[in-house]
Amino acid sequence: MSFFQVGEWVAGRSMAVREPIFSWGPYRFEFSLAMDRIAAVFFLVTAVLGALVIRFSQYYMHREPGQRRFFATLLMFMGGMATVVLAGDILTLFIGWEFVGMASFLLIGFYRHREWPVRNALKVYSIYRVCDVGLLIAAYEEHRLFGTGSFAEQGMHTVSAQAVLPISLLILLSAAGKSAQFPFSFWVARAMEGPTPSSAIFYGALSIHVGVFLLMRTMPVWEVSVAARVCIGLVGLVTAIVTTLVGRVQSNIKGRIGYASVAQVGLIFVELALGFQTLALIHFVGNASLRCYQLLVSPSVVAYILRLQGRASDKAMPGPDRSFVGRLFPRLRATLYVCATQEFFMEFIVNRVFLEIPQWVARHVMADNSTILNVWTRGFVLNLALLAGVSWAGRDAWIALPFTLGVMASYLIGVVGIWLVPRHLRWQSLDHLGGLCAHHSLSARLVFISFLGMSGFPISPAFWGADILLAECMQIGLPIALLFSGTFFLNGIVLARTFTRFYLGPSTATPVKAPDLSVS
Amino acid sequence: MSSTSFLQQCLTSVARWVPHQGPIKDFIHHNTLHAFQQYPFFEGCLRASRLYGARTFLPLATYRSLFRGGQITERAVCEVVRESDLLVARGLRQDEAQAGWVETLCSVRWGEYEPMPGIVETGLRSRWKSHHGLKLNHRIHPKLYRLLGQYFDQGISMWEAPHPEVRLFDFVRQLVEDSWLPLRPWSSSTVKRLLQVTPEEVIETVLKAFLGPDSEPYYERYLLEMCLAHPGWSGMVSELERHPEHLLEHRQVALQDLCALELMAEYAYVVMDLGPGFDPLISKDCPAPGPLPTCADYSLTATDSEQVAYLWQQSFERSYRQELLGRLSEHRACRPLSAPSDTRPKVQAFFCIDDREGGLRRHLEAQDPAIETFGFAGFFGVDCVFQGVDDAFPSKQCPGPVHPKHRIREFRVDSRRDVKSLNHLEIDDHSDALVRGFVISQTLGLWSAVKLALSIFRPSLNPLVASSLQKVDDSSALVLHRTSEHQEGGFFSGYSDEEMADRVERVLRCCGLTAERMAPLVLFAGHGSSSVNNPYFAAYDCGACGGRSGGPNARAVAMMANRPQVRELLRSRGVEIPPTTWFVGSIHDTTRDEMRYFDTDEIPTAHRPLFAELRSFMETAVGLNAKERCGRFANMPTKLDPRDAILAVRRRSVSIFEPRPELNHATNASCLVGRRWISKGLSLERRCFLNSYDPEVDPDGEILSALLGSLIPVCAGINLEYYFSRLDPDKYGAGSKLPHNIQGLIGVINGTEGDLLTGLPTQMTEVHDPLRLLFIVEQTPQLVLRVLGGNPEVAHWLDNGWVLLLCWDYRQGTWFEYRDQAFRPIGVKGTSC
Repeated sequence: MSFFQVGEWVAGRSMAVREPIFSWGPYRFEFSLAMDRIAAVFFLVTAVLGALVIRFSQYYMHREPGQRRFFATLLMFMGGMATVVLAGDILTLFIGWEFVGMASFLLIGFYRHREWPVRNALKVYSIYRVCDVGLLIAAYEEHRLFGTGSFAEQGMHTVSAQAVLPISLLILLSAAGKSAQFPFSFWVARAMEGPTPSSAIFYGALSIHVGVFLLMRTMPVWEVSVAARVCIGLVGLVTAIVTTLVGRVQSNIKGRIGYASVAQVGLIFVELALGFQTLALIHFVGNASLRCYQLLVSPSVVAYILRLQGRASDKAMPGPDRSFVGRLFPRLRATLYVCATQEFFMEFIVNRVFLEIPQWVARHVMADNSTILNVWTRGFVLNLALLAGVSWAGRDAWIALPFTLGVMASYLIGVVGIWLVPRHLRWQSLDHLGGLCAHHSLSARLVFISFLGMSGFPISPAFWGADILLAECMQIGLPIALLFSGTFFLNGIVLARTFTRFYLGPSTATPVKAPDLSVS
Repeated sequence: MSSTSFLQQCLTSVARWVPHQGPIKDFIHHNTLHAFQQYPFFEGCLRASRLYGARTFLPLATYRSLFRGGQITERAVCEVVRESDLLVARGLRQDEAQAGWVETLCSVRWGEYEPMPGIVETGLRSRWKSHHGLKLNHRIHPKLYRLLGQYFDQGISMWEAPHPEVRLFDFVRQLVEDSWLPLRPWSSSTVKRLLQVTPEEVIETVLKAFLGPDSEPYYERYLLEMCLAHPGWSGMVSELERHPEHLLEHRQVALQDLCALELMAEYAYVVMDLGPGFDPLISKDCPAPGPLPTCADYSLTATDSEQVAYLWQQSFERSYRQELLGRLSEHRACRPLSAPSDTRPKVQAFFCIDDREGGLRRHLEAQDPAIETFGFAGFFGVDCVFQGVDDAFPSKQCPGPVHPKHRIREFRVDSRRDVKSLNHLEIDDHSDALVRGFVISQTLGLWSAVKLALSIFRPSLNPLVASSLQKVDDSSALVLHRTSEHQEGGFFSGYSDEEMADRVERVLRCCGLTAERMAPLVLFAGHGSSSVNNPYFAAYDCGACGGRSGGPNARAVAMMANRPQVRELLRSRGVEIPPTTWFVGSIHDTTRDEMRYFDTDEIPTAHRPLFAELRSFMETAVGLNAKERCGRFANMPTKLDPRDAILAVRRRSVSIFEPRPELNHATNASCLVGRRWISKGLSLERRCFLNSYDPEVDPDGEILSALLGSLIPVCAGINLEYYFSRLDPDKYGAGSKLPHNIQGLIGVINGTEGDLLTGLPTQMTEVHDPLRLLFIVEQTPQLVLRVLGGNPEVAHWLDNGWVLLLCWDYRQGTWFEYRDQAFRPIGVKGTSC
């Protein structure tokens, strides 16, 4: 690939590759790639910043326990990122999208023997899961509406603005979640738990802009709807204002940079809503590079600011804030300050709106305070119930076969994995366990694979099975897509939660007798 | 006793057991278990381990592999078992012949040593979780940390907290009162009224509700458990309460404010979940807990595995001692150096006692036999606060326990050279604002990718580097001589001639330097470091200068010694400095292996050739030193010539991706107090602090007493901080440095809402062998005993075994070991040469 060609793409030439991977009966799956201006810019930034961060990490991660895991996950992320930006249709994009999300989950929880990284990894994963549902349903609807998920063809259909509004809003939901827009912005601060280079490449540079990419890719779809554009613009604007305020009160450097980055992404949303795609592209390149660099040098900030304060000693020290907010009268100022401190209650809102249902299901349907085997079995049954429902609806039981086999295989792998931990732990309540992967790594790996399979991770057989099923059941419509994505969503969150509780976090594997503290 | 003073007493006691670590910009090494120093070492470690749930020994498997690797010798193990009065050792002596001891200790029948859970996991407060299913820490900590972070912030957040001038408790009250929207959970109706009373009353009300009636004896316990659930923040608050001057932007803090706020939050959640009529934590079904591990009546029993671990630990220390003493005796036997030669040396150089300077001294001496070096605490007796040209505030430049009364100010002679721009757009807060951020990322954004690429492939000195050499500036001068008795901020501005003479005299006398032995050129070399992306930069600088670069002190002491009035005074006191002698101040950057000299244009012409010669010797020496250091880095080629080694270490010091710019004090293990010829020419593998001391000029031990008084706290502080951070990297240390995030310029945290981390990161301690510091003093045991008798502060460290002491009787040539407040002779087996 010569630079000349890259230049051509950036200038606006486009190209698409479609490679049929397999077909089964009437079902065909194509791996479809596209290269155009957007893809070229995103791909270049991904490649350059990715290469720099990997080079950086070669020294930085030297001697760190788990560095192989780090690089494996980082490469998985780079692969996912490349798939996303080069995807030619929405399904291929979804595959990359899932890889990016999974890599995020794994790197936030990189220090898996500690409590907070694992908790925050799960928190971010849950929000990503919300985006996944949005994207899945959007993909399904798009297929239904246009008969194809290919990006090249999506603009060619003339559809009324009314018809694309639901799709546009779903796309906005996934893009907003992935790019930490309002009301999801709070996760960006929680995600800064991994080694600094991983935070830099994910939340400074690339992962945070995946939502922007999704919006750019699907621009021909939502462009026609004014209502959708207004929504996108509003989300961006609210994010820019809210996260700027939240960022201003951050007293730690990574949080400050993270929120500043999100605020700029909000502006990019606004630019897109106004239709300034080129401006948005330039903005993306600048923001990604700037935040990546800022995060990588963030540990220098103590020495740097102290020196700066020294230089500024004859000027006024950082005294009363003279900015706009500073001049507001005290009560409004205090209110804004209190809101910014609590991130404008975003976490509370998201928990209420999106995560209360899975939490209820986890507690009452999946019995997540019993044993791990119990939860896993219930997850399996939930998947089967879904299958039964769809087969009944499709009146064509054989097409459910790949899905059944896939889920069953995943479940069995999980059972084998669980069987590998000692008996007394296997049957213990999840409330009293944690950190088992320290001593039972094989078991943890198997159960992780099983978790991927049962939650419909793209390369798992269950995912393809589901895709075949969905393609067949297209005529039934939205309910079936909702059923599927809902099950994957719930299963994903509950199983991830169970997995992290059982295998990650502080280890309780070698219980020590507590000293007797009561007076006898 | 009134309830307020009772509560104050509880809080004072709580403040004792939380970490004592100040803001990170003044990182000063101190004993992590300082509070337990009143106990003998083993007991103190165990009590701390029970309290914090921390590990205080290596895993037994590690000791076994050290034994197999030869770092623990069988001879040492046998000696330790023979001398120990631990139950396990007694059992061994009784049951088995000496030949079987090691095998038994190596067996796995002791199980693995694991620390017991601390009081946070098992204590009174944990009953909220175990009995009521409440996870208070998860819900409260992030909210509390955020408020604390914003209140204490020293310059990261762009929006200063409203009313930072009021105390913490009032700050929260003001926020709750002023805001129209709630500040959870302090605005909830159950606790809002508590904001109207004093923090003491809040603590009392809530504790009474939590613990039930007549539970005052457990107040302290509950508060301690609550504070130890976030040791970093409670430690910082109590440290700032004791020393508010640590903060450049002043805050009014008290531990009681923190406790009151946290208790209010707990109360709000407890009432929310359990209803107002909840059962107190102490009731008929839940009996009150026993005494704390810190109490005298706590029954402490060491488990077998702990005793075995301690035997191994002692054997590890003994093995090192045997090896060191063997090498020292052998070295002496091989090089019979009677008295120092009579020829007047050409150059004398004073270095800091720091373990990192030993290598440089050896290489410098090897250049020319007429070069003599000395070790002296790197502040060279100049106890001052220093305000450099670039400093907004003066900072203390002397060891922790010393309280300076003088200020030295640096001013710029040539103001035209002040135009160097240091601003760095990318990390300034401009780019984090909305509109400016938009402009910057649209325009200069791409430039930062280029910068990133450059700093990865071509690291170079840039404004992000914290470098000791930035303090070296030819265009500046020091205000050293006091002209008026006016005090500013409690400090005299500069020193009088008498005070200067005192300081110079102390240095010269301690090293036994007399007029006939004084070289024409005397160098004082302070030391500092350079690193980038390193919040712990202060821990890399000179410990004797309070975690700062020692350059200003070296410069000041040289200026003092060159001052004719001072020399006049010194002559009248019997310490003569020949008129032909000139003093030069300098600084050695231990990371970059670079020397810079101060005030070179003032060197008399007659001394210039000699100075030029010294410089070239020094160039060679730093090259050799850099080469020696390169051999110890894991990712460096082992065969480098000195020139490349220097380039390699300098590149390392400015690389943003390098978490280990230098190895710092790692592997420190001993401290030699005596004349240079004991160890001259011997490589001590950078494990040894070297302090010059001439026993012959100190017949009444006055010098030794002053010396040990400042030496032991500084060196043992460094040693024990490394020791404990190595043993429990997560509880005593700060864990891996790679995910660290800077909080408010006062500390580091993991993630964005973690507790402040105390201690050292694993990157600094991973190659360290946890050994207590072995002091070796060249003096007669009788005199050392007398010195210790008159200096209980120092004796305290030794009697309880937090540092180990040996004495080398220079008259007899025999070794003595200090134990149970007496010296006992020990045999030393040296290999013949």
